Amino acid sequence: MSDQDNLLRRAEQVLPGGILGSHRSGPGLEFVVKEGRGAYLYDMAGQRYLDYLLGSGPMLLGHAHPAVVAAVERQMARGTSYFLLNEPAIQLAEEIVKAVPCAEQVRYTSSGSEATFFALRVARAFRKRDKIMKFEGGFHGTHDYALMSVVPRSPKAFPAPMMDSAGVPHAIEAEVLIAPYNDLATAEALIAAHHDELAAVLIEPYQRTIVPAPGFLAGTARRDAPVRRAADLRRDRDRIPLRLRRRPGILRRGAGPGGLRQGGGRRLSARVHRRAEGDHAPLRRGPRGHRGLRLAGRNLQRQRHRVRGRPRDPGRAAEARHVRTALQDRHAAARGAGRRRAQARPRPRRSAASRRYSTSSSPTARSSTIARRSPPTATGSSASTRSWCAARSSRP
Amino acid sequence: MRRKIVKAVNKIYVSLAHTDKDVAETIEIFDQALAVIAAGA
Repeated sequence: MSDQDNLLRRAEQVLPGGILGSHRSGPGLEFVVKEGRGAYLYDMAGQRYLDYLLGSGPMLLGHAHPAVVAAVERQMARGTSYFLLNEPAIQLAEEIVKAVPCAEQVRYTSSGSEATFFALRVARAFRKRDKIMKFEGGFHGTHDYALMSVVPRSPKAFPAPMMDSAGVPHAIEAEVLIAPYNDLATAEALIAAHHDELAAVLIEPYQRTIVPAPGFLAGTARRDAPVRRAADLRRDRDRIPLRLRRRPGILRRGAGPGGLRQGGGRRLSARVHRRAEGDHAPLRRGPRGHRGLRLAGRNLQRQRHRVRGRPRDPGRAAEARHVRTALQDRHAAARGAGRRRAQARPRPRRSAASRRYSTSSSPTARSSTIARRSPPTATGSSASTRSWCAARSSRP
Repeated sequence: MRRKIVKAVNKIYVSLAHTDKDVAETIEIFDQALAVIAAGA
């Protein structure tokens, strides 16, 4: 058995369908890439392939371009993941803002799916509406909102979506409207009909290989169009990663190939937005920018503040006591669980090298910190709190 | 694929690394493939 056959057999065992992503070469045509150079791929047997897949798009300079390799090697020697501000990240954001007319700020993401997912969250928070509209056949990643009517097997009447995958919650199906691409009149009519519910419209300017009809993009981008009035128009650039190719409709008109050098050769994805959207109050619940976590327990905090705000109201005293007790119970439970986990964890003997590189406190101290920051765990008191909430909300 | 051309399902991505010769070779192979399909139809 050749190396390639052996690898293909092993891939079948450990990768779904024996493939990465969704590209399949066809029966008997599978191969394993050993390396890529320029416009070519080479398999384990040394066979050369002319590559028009290009990592599903981002390798605009071809594989292993010397300038990209040199830049990556240079940076690798300095470390790559800091989770903190660094000069290249700032420079790149400035370049993206220059290149994309609608961009004032940039949030880097790990994939295009993540970028469109967060863009929709920003739109929903900014617009205070939940529904989104996308076009049939448009691909915006693999999250639950995007996997609607990309390849509908039995299309429904517009705007009903057709889920492209099992496992997508039906609740999300109710939040997505589908419009026909290149049909401005229908899109405008749907948006007008759902004016008060729509947060955003997702659109690929060049949907897959379909060229936009004359006037379609211009019509959707018109400031006085119902599209614009009804919802923030979100244009997801040609598929997932932001490739920084400048094309009419999304990037600057008439720009030369200078835009090609950015992002070429490495995957790059980000969402861009206007400052007003990024600074929108509901998104600033975290120290900076939007956060998707740490929501549990917030309602209890609000209730506590409400009852504390009226301590002299004798009718509220019982409620205040109840909420205070519930919060204390839940916090105590969370702290107790954290302590127990910390005590149960064996303390590893640390080498001199690990001590040298460690900047944190002891494992015990770290776990206590985590416990303090974690949302309270479900306890009996949470059930009593829920019943208190239900009783309270049922009051006239 | 049998002629050693890799492409996306419904797209062809072109890079700055592709030469005129690569493109000419690709067009020729596509012509031949389409001729085979047409002959079989």
